[in-house]
Amino acid sequence: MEKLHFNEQDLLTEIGSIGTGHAATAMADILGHKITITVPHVELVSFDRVAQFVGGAGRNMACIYLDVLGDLPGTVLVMFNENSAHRLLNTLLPDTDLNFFQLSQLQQSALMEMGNILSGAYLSALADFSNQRMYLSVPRLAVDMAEAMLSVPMAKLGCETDYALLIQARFFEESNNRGYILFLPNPGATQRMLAIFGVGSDG
Amino acid sequence: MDNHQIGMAQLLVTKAPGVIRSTGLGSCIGIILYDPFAKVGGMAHAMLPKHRPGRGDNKSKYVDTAIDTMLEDMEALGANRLNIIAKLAGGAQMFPDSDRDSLMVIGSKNIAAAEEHLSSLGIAVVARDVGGHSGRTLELDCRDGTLYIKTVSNETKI
Repeated sequence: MEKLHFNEQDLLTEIGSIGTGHAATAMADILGHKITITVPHVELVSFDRVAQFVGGAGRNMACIYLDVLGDLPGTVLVMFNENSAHRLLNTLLPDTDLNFFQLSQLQQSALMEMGNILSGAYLSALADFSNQRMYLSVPRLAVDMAEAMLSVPMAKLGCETDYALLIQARFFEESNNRGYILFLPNPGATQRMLAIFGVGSDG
Repeated sequence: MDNHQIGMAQLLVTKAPGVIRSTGLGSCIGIILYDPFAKVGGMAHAMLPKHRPGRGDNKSKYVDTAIDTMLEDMEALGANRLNIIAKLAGGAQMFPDSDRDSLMVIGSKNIAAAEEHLSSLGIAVVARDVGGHSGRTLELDCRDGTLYIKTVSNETKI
């Protein structure tokens, strides 16, 4: 599979919308204010292009990594730029000093928990909708250049294929506070999702 | 200046005064080959240790096939295999923990695969900046083979 058909694109966008909608609600509940979230961008991309969808390869981000296990395996990444991580941590843990590259244990836990809650909301919506079982691994956190962290899920996909199916949504409170949630289903999971909803694919 | 940028699972070879740059190598390994006489250099941003058939056609994705491809491309630009030296940078473990999870230690497998394949070809690895837990941005200056390395907190050259 090197290209998505229109109907495949539509279905995956819909799946992404359901997930991101729930994730945004969960985030708004925690932060106590409104969160804007974009319609997901769905695209099959070569590995060198993936970082473009989170603001560029060299962009410094906090990235929470979770393996998706069960019937539709893959990876979820929740990524915050420096501004949005600051904003988030100031809300969750007021009055603490903050160095983006040397977060305290508590600040790291808070970000991982945020990633956990967002991806949990995302995937449980998707699991309900598709009637599939989905589980999440424990979250792992890194703060570094986007491309460096993306190398881990890309290596996972690279064992099977030359392309990543990217279901990306961007959420923000203000224009410079950017967060992203990326669902990267394994190739087998993509085929299964398309099959469940009866969207034809020639593989 | 003759500037080139490569991304994940890509490679490129060029001649002096060319510069090859790659941003944010994490678990991926940057393999640098250089012929100091012909001043021909190459860089690969490889993701996985060993080529396996039927899992995609991109030769730049794997350490072994990326090295083989770079060598051929460099020879086509006038490099002599006997003069080629190698430098390695990357292969970090980006996310903490889990010795049980082989994916999290893909970086060290990439380093080992590069050392092994280069050694089997008789190519000396003259410098390395590998492992650790930080992403690296690489810049190869083909005029003299210097490799500049930046992390979020540090800068060095090898």
